[in-house]
Amino acid sequence: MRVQVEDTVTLEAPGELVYAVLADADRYRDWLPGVSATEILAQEGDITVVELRAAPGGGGNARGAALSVELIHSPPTALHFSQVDLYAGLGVTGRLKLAGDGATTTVHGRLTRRLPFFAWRRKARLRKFLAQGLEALAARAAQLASATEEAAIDAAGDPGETERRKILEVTRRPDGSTRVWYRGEVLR
Amino acid sequence: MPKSSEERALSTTVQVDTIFQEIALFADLNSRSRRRLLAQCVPKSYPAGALVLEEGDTALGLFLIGSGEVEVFKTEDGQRVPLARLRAGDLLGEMALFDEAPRSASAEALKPTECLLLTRGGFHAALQEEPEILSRIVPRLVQRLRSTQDRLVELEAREEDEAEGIPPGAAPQRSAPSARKRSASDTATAFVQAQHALLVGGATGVAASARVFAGFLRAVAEEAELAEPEDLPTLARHLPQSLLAAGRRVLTEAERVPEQTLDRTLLELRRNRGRKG
Repeated sequence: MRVQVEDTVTLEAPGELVYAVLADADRYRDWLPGVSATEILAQEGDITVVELRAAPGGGGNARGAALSVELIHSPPTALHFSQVDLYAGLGVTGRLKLAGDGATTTVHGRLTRRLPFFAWRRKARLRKFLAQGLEALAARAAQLASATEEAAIDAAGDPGETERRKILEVTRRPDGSTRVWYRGEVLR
Repeated sequence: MPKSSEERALSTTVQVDTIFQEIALFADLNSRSRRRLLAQCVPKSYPAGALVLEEGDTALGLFLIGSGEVEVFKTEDGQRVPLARLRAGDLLGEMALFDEAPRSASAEALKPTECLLLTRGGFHAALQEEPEILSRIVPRLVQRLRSTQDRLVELEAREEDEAEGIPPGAAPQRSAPSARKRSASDTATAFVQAQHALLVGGATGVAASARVFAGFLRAVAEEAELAEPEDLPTLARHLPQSLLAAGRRVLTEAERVPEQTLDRTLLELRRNRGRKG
């Protein structure tokens, strides 16, 4: 039995910024619910295979488990993903589509999974997972979109930690406006 | 009257299905298998001048070109050497479905290009749902490897003739390739069978694929007349790099398999690997 759930969220952030967050698989651990560690396993062009490790204290079957997920990027409008570990074909596949007007971005998410007929309750779990993921994405994007110089310094933690500073940097332009860098790219 | 989005999607699916039928690699698939593969494909667009593949990158997927034009090229001494131009219905990088060897050439879109991307992960997912796909693709692959091998044999023979000053057409009949070349062709077949085993391993458990891989190593060792089949460094000289990489992956996976489920050869390989590591 194939189950499919869909959800849509509108974010107060430009599409490039939202996509930058989605494209940065190595940082999913910073915002994706239930993920405590990430490792990029392989990368070629727009394809990334990333291992997501669930938090040891997490609930359900995912406790401490690791999933290999393949991401196919079509920036700045779509991201396809599917589970590619030993359970490939039985795992979750999905797609996020982005559309926006510059200031806001609508993200439509769809998750699909094959389940045995007696496991229909898991559909609710899948729906919850999608809703939580989109909510977390919204929070992450809002955090970056409203970033101030002070927030950047907070995010950097130790100011000497240059790798962290590259992730989020905010500088002040001569006209007083702020410029936000995320992973080495100017977002606004 | 303009078509609705559903009609457009349906017409695109029918077009792609027709293209799938015309591709030699997928020609033996039935419509259900083609649908399974199609379901795993992701549409991609590249503007003119965009790099689709880069030489040396880890190969993770194949591209089915739907429209546009792509040039395959190598870079030698800083110079671009064009190898082929691919158009609608052509496949790009199909070996990525079977191994993670680095790309042997780059590819650039010469015109705005639409294609379908089938990643190895997507291919494996389709195989899990429809294992028959593999049995219909492998013979085609073997056929391709054999014909490539035959072409190489022919080229080598021509070069030998030229070196000996024998004019074209006056060469003695070469009905059968030499024993060495025939055995290379058999190795190519075994290579595909081993890849097959590795893929099936994803569906049936790593121990089974590791067993077949170990069997393949034994066969290569015999062919190379090696006294110690488990001597991987020596074997490496007789194996394609990609197969070794695939084998290493299987062996790494096999580390997680309990010892009692592994056969003797695999155990020896594991222990040997442990000693060297």
